[in-house]
Amino acid sequence: MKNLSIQWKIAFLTSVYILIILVGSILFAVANFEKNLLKEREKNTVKSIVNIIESYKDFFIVRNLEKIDEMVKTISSLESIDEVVVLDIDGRIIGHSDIGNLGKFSRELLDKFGQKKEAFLEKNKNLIKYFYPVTVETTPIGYVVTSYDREILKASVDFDILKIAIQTLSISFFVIFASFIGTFVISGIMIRPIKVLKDKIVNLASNIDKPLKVEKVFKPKLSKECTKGISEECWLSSENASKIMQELGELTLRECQNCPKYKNSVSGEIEELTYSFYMMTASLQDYLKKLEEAYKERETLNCLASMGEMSAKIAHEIKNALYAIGNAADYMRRNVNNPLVKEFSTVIRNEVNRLNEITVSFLNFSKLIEPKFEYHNLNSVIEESIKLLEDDFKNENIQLQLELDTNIPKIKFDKNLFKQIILNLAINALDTLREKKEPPKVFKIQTKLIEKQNSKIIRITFEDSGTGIPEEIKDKIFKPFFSTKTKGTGLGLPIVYKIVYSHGWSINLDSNNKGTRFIIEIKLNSN
Amino acid sequence: MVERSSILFLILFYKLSYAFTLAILSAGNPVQEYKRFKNLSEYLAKRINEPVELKIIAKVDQLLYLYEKEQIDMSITCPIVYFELKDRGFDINAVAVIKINGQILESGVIVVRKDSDIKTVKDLKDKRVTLGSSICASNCVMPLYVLSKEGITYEDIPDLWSSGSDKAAILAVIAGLADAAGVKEESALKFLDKGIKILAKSPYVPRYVVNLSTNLPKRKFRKIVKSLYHLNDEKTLKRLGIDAFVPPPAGLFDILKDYKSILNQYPMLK
Repeated sequence: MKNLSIQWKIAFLTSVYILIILVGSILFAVANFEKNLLKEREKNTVKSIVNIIESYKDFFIVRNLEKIDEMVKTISSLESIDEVVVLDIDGRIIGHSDIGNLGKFSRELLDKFGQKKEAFLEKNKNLIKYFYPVTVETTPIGYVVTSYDREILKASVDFDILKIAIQTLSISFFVIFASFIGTFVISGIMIRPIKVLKDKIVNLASNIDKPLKVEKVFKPKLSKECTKGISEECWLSSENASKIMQELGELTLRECQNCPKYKNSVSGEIEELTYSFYMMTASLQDYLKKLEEAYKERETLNCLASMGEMSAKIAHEIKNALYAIGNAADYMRRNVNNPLVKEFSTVIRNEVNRLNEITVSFLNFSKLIEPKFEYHNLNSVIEESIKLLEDDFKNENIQLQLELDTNIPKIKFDKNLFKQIILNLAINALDTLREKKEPPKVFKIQTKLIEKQNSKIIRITFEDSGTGIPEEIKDKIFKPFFSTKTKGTGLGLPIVYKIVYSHGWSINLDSNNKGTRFIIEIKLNSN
Repeated sequence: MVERSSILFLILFYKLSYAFTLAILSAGNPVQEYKRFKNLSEYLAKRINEPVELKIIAKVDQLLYLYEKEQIDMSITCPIVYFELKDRGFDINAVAVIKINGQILESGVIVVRKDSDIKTVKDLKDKRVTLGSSICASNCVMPLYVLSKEGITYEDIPDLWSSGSDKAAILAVIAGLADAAGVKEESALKFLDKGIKILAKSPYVPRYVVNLSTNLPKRKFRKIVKSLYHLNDEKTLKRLGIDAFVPPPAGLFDILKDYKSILNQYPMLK
């Protein structure tokens, strides 16, 4: 039983249930039926005896013994009749089941009739004697004593009931067989979606990373509007349900289940279960994606942490050495009048300075960033920071555009660190556009207050019209020491990332061959 | 012209309305008797190629009345009735007798209880005697014939009645309602082991006689007689409950010629 499928279990248990009900009903009916039928049969037997006697009454008067014998035989032919005795008024037997008894006198039977003018029964265990006085008006013209065996009558009733029971049982077995087939088919139809779900769940484990595939959800009668406002179109009324659900991710499970439209349009538990599965899968995939991102982020941070630690040690040692080399080079330039020595000592000094700069950058990068949060106007800090590079942009004929949303409120952030972000991204754009020979050469900073998923967000976009970042290095640009520039340290964007992360913001890259956009999003609630 | 048409119409009407009538005198169950003799009427209808109307008659008086009205062409009766019909001058001939169980004759017997103290017919004086039937030779006239031969008359037996059937008469004897019963020998034989014995037996008389109207066209008369003798279809005979119709041998009815003198001794039965 344990190993049977639900379909078999339902069919089997339903059939057993019907069997119990039917057999129980039949047994109950039979038990009651036997009693009533026996009573009825006894009543009918007596009634038949009376009818037969009454129809032969005339022959008592004319003493037609042939007819009386015919009457005896007719009564004897009734079920369970054991003996029929017909007496005349003197007690002489004028009719009997056994002709040999004719002519005998039965005073005993005559005495039992006595003065009784009504019929009566005499019971002796199972043998019942029915005494019937044949009268004309009130005058007796003869007597009939009929004996019948109640056991024979009962056996006859039992046999009849058995016949009925067999017929009923045959019908019952047919009903059970039909119900088994019916239940098997119906349960098969009802369970099919559950089986499909089961298969999907089994497949889900090995194919969780594959795109969600939703089957047969499209409900054309529903409006396309998402009443919850979480997507452009409601997936229930869209032919593109898979895509919408995948984009919504965990929101489907959180929002759609509480949506009145969903509640009204989903019919039946099976459909609800199926849709819940799809929503759960979408949510699960969403969570997995986020988990993977978090894991990558953690790896990056681990890498950064270890690099920072290492770079701090190296930078410290290098810095000491550079200090000594730089001083030595200065000494030689001042005290040796050889022009060649002076020239080389200058080269040494410059390279020491460059190395020192790099070392400082390493040291800065490796330091733990602890932002000092204060209320500032974001737009003012951007304008203030970009002013420092205005001349550089001008010199390179790069058009600088600022589109700053005045609705942005003051928020808490570290002004200096934010300046660092702006300068690093602006310098990167400057370097990129400097190398570009063909116009347009534009660098645009845009701020905008937007609403996304019921949250207010400040979006800061740094956009250049450069040649873009090749697809294969997009994943590496935020990693330390990765640089495409000949003189770059490879720490500009990692520092930007580190500052953004330290503020609890997010940064995204969008780049193609027409330019690059860095988008920083600040959730207002997060501050 | 009109007269000729009228005559033709009357002939046609007669032809259409006329049916050969077969009457059966029987005191048995009318339905059973009708079923039984329907086979004969259908057989005859086929042979004479005209409809045969079957009439089951329970009383002799009714049969006589129909004969008077010339509404019977053929009848099957007991020999006594045949004599009565002849005596009344109806134009009939006994063309056949019925053979049953290989016999065309039967006799009447007087039965008493086995334990009865009646040893001879003469002992029946002042006893209660019942008869099987009041219309048949063997179970009425022949038992009386036995009594009359022994000199016992109506006055000797004040309590004499007809039980209606042989069985009723025999059962009356067994039950002690009668001291003796005059019945057919065949009927008595069935009850010999049920407590009765045969006291006396009469001479043999024909069982049943087929009476055919001599007013019928000769050709038709001959055809019917021939048809009766030639009835050998087992199925029909079985349904009729007979072996065959056979020509009556000469002198077969002699014993019954004085039936009236016998019945005269028993005016109540007459």
